[in-house]
Order: sequence, then structure tokens, then C-alpha cells
Amino acid sequence: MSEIKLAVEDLCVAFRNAGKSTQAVRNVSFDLGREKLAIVGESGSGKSTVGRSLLRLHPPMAQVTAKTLRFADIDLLAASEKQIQAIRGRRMSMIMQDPKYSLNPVVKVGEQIAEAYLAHHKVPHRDARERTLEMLAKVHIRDPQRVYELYPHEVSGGMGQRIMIAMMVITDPQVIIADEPTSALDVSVRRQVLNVLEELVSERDLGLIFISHDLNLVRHFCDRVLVMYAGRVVESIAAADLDRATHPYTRGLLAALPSLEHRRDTLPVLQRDPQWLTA
Amino acid sequence: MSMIEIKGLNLSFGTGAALNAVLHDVDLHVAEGEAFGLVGESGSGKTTVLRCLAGQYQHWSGWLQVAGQAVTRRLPLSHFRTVQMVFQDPYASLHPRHTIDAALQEPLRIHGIDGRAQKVSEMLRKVGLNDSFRFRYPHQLSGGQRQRVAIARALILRPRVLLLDEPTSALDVSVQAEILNLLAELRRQEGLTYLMVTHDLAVVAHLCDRLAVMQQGRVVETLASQQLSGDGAHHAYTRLLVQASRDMSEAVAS
Repeated sequence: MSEIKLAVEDLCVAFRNAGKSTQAVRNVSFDLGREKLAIVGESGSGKSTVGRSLLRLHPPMAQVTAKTLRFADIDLLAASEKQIQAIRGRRMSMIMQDPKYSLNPVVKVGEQIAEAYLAHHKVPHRDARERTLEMLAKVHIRDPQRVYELYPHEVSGGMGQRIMIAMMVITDPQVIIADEPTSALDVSVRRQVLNVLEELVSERDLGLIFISHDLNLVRHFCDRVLVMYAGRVVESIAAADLDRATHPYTRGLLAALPSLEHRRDTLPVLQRDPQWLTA
Repeated sequence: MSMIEIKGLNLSFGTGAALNAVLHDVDLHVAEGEAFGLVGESGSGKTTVLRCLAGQYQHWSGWLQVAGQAVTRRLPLSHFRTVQMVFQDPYASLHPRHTIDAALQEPLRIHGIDGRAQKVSEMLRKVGLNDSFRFRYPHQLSGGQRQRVAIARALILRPRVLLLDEPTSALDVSVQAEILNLLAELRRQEGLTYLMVTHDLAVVAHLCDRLAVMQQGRVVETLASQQLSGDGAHHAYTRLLVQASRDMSEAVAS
């Protein structure tokens, strides 16, 4: 692995609500280099919460603690709000799940991408537009001039997600956090969006954190996989070795997938072991 | 005997220049007790076919028949005792301010059926829940539990046909396995006929006997599920779908 872009050690996140504290993430540690790192787990396992803590996107009731939470040479826990703003969206950005909900419905998509650029660069609007058109072409949108003028409801899901990617990459970040970027898309379109991401990652030496619940997709697309259960990382394994996963939870998840090739009468159902909560 | 027969189903929205034809001469036959899958990308019209059968659209043209009864524009109450539907998102398909008990009793009340309390508790057991769930609200249930309630609500009138619209795509894989097992089990017990819409070929291969592939409002191919695993798909679009879903799972197998 090359230089370490992101170092996380013993990250814990708790949410305080009505005097009750809920521990959502417990002692998560990992380093991110120039690679595609997947975080998988069921809903509620804390995978998105990890992604959000990196960008300080949590509401005030969240308590984020860690031994280390470092991005390049900046301590993310000690950084001021101003420092974080200089990082968020500029050097580290996040792609959300559903373009339908993350794009502003009353602003042209091109303007929204340009806005992301203008937020971090003092340049004339015309230059931002130029950059945007280049970026749209980069994410394989055929007719950037036309698409620039469209509103979000006029673009398909796959195109919407490529627009989101363009918006996140236009500031040339070092780390991208993609939170279920393809779950809202069809199988055929999913491929296209993943190809675009793949291209950008290898071309720009990005570190990618890919949050997903889809094991099959992840082992195909990523280099390394963190499997989360109830706020903990239960297994960290190279994507290629996923078949040789040792933790019963990972194995259970893999076995529960229906398969085209092997039909079974009943799918094995995951048996949860209370020990996983502490082990 | 075929349980569901669809012949030359056409449907369009809008008029004049804005006319948008969404279904073109769809033909389907589903035998009694069969599980049949409808596959295709979003916008291909697969959910629309279900909605026509469920009576949610009235302006279609063609011939629809369920359990020997022609489906008419104005549907009699008895139609809904034969055909019921389960929706994709269990977070959106249950009324947030109605208890589970109220949600399950409503169809019985509409159809003037007595012994409701007992039927509700029997049905809950059948879908793997119990009486302790009766007076809870949907927000107190997990996604998988909600989908069980939605299935219970569909089955409480003892229909013969279940229309399933992506019943597991909003769920985690571990929970998806539970719901797929439940659906398979209920079909065996009750002799139900399923018509299931999904975009996940592996789910179809698991649950269904046969499937139809739709593209832009047309059925482009009908085949048996076994043909998916071999080299049985002929239409270019079906092959593309098979390839796409194989890519996802094969990287490891190889």
C-alpha cells in the first residue's frame, strides 16, 4: 500500500437522545491508502455512520471519539469548523445513495455541479461552466452542453448518479466516500456507474470508501472489505479472499444470497450469535 | 388450467403528442400453483402489468382473466378475495398510525367476515410473528417484520393469487433469505399462485418456475428458470441481464 490517506483508530460514535445513549459504532479501526475499501453490513450496522463521522456530518447529539482520526496531516477531531469546511467537498467528498433525493429539484444539474466548484475555487462563473462540461464528458455523458441545462427530473437514475459523481470529483478530492451509490439503480445501469467510478479512482489516485450491503458487488469491485456487525468490524479481508472468510457472520451473509447457478429449496438463514457483540 | 391469462394487453398514458404507450401486446399465462417472475429494468412496464391485474388502472385494452373470471374495468369485491398484492417498500405500505391489528382487520371488515380477532392471530403465526405484535405500530417493527405483516395482510382474505412487487428489494440479504423462505413455504402450504416482479435474476431463479423478460413494454422472452443457469436464454437482452448478474457473483467463484 502506498501513502496512507486516512487513518482511523478506535472510532466510536454514540447518539444521545432523551437521556439515553446508543452506541452506533464501536472501536472501528482502519487505514485507507490508494485503494477501494468496502464497508459492508446490514442496515443499522453502523457503516454509514462511520462514513459520516469522517466528514463531521453528524448532528450535535452524536458523540464522536477516537484515538486517531487523521486525514493526510489533519486531525479531524481537533480541526475547527473552518478547517473541516475546507476539506469537506474539496479534499474529501461523499456520494449519496439516491440522486433523486440528493439533487436540488429546482436548479439545473449543470449549475449544481458548477456551484460545487465555485464553493472552493475563486474563479469566474464561465470557467466553472467550462470545468463542469469537461467533467460531464469525463463521466461519459454524451452531450454535456444539453445535459448541463436539464433539471434533475429530466435525467434518468443512472445519469443522475453520474452527475452526482461529477459534482463530487470536480474539486479533485483525495478521498471519496460512496454511500450505497448504486443501490437505487438497475443492474444494467449499475455496471456503467461502477465503470465510471473505477476509471476515476485509477486515473486520479483516489482513495475510495465504498459503503454497501451487497457482498457480490463488493467482491467484484473493491480491493479490501470490512464487514461490520452491530457497530463493530468483525472481519477485514481482501475482496478476493471473501470465499475463505472465517467469521460466521460473513459466511452467513454469503450463504443467504440466492444464486443463479445453484438452486436450493430453502436459503440458509443467518443465526445470530450474541457473542459477536463482544468478540 | 391457467390461473392468470393475459392476452394482448395494451396501456398508454396521455393523449395526442404526449401519448406514451407503456405496454404493447403483452401475453402471459400463469398456471395454477405456479410461481412466475417478471423481469426487466425500471420503466419496462413490469409493475404496470401487476397494477392492471390488481385493478389500479382501468383504461387498458386487451383480455385479462384470473381464476376463470374475466377482469372487468369495474372490479367486483370478490376479485380482491382472489387476487392480492404485496408492495416493495414495507416502510411505505403500512399506515404509520394504524396498529398491526387494525391493518390486518381492515380487509376482513371490508368483506364482512366475522371472527376477525382469531383470524388475525392465526395469520400472524403463519407468517412467523405472534400475538405480541398485534397492538404495535409499524415503526416498532423491523423491515423484515413489516414485510411479514404486509404478506399477512395480503393473505388474510385467503386469495389464490399473490402479486408480488419487488417484495425483497428493500431488505438486507439476511432478511431477504427469511422472506423468500416464507414465500416458498406459504406457496407449498396454501397452493398459491405467484406473479412476482423483480430486477434480481437470482431471486427469480430461486423462487420461480418460469419467467418473462420485459423491455420497453414488451415481453421479449419467456423461459423456464433452469434455462437461466445454463445457456438457455436466447434474446440478446436476456443474455445481457444474465451476464450482468453473473459478473457480480462469479468474480469469486472463478
